[in-house]
Amino acid sequence: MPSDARSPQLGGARLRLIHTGFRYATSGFTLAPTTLDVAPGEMVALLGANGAGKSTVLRLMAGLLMPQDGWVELDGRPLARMRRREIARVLALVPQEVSVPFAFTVAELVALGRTPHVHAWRGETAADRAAVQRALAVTETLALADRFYTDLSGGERRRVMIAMALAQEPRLLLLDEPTAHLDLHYQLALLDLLRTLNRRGLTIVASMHDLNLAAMYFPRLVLLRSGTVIADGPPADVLTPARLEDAFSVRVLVQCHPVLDVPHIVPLPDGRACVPAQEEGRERRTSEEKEHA
Amino acid sequence: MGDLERGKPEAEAACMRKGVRRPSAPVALGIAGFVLLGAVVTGVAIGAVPIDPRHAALILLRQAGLHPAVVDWSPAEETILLSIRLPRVIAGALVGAALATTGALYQGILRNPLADPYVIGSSAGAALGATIALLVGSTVTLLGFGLVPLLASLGALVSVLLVYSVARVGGRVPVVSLLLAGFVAGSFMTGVMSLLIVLNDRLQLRIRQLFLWLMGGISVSGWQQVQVVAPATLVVLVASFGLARALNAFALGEDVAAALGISVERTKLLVVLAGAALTGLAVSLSGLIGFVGLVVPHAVRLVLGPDHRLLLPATALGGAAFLVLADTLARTLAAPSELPVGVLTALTGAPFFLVLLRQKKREYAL
Repeated sequence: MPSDARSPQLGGARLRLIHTGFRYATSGFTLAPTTLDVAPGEMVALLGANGAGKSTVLRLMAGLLMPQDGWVELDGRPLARMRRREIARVLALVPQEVSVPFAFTVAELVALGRTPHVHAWRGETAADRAAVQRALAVTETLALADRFYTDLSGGERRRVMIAMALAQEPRLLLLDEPTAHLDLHYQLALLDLLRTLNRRGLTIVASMHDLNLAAMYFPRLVLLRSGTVIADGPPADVLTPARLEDAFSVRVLVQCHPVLDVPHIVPLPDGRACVPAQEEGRERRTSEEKEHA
Repeated sequence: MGDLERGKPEAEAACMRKGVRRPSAPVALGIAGFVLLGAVVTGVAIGAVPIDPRHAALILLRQAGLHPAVVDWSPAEETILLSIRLPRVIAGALVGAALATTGALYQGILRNPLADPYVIGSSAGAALGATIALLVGSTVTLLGFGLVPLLASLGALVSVLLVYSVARVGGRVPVVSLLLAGFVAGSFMTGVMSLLIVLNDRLQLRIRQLFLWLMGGISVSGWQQVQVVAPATLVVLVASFGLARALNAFALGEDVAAALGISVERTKLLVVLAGAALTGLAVSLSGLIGFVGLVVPHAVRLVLGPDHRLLLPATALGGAAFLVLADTLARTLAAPSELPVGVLTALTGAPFFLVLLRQKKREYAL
């Protein structure tokens, strides 16, 4: 952890979906009215198959979509009644892939995180520059500051985007599949960073594809299936074989993680339920085994 | 995150280049301003009657009330310079600034480096307006403007606003719709224009005039038009600089821009309005001058970087200087006849741009 104790942390924001429903006019995809309370300082992963509604939920949370049913509240205020700038001062979004058509340097991009705080005609203040430096330091992108974003690797780009979001000094961070397309090393490094930020008080909601990483890092998981929340709670409650089969239409074995006290998912190919006998030496406690032994 | 640098970056370090250093904004704008001043002095000094550049500079300084009156030039020089060449040069500067800035605005909002001021239908609208004006053949003037510039301006404005409203679906204007609507509307209006030309004998007699206009000639006969266009252009230009921060955020896509607190649709509307106004003002002084709006923002971006807070004003200054010089060449190369400046902008801008692009290809994400 970089030593940067001066980082101001106002405490996380609370976000609530209240009976929030959304229907896309073009595709017809519908998010059933959903109620979800993300308390200050929580770290929540949204799980589900492709098209289950993870991105829709994130976009509703960010105020990029306006719900047709219900509403979304940020710190007790309906998002629909807040100006974009006000929202951006509380909430930051890290999209999955960001392509930048022009040759911005990393420092220039991270400085864009100050947009909601800076007046259109005025320059950045010392406080703005300090926030940018802190964001670069926390994400360890200081060394990249004067390089072109377009020249960076996928992992570096993701870190830069998180730095930009942190320069916004948000109290709630939304991330769309932060670990997608990253190698194992960067996946863990990034999730470690998120956990550190969360422990300082930042509320975090991220959509995740990797169930095992989600189980390792997120104390609360929300599982979606075709626009409906089918489970919401700690990993051990959410990641059960029955629920995962329901959500992903695959058979899985749920074991205990060999080191950590969290569930560990082993997908089974082609509906196969049994495990090869030579692996029997190790102790396993799975409901899947009991069912199909 | 402490161990992120471990192991991974060795391979990347090999291809890592030295950090980028941007020129400082005041220095860059200062240089651009001087280049523009130099272009203006050159522009007023060169012509059928050559004027000593020192005289030209002194006459301009005196006119600006900055120089003690030591008059050692002929009154004829002063008259030619002040009442014939200067309005023409100022007109060129205004057109260049307007078109180049519009190009930068559209490239930013469309996130497309190939956008130019005419990309969403304004050229076809202006051309159709000019065609109709020639068809009517009236000698009406308003504030010193003939019917051709009046209808061309109107055509550019109306077509852009039309395209914008056609592309608007449920309160949103998707960029792709904007480009498609611009393309379709442009094709349609070009079709109407061709039809008018083919069907109308009187228009065929004026086809050369229309062609020269389409090739982009500056047509200014005195101060009157410039006096009307200059303040309006300057106001819109400066106002558009206020969109710089929003355009920077747009580089990351509309979702990120919105997440950074930008009102996405409002910004698009303001950019389209500013672009339509600037293009309309430009075609009130000149025909369709290509290339300025595409090349100047690119060139400036390659040298100064993509930050619109610097890019927009520097592009305005650069576009003004570029068009003044191009127009000076257009007036003198084939003297006594004049070339349309649009031909010159293409002939000089294209090679210049290619050299820049080759030099900096790696740093440029096209």
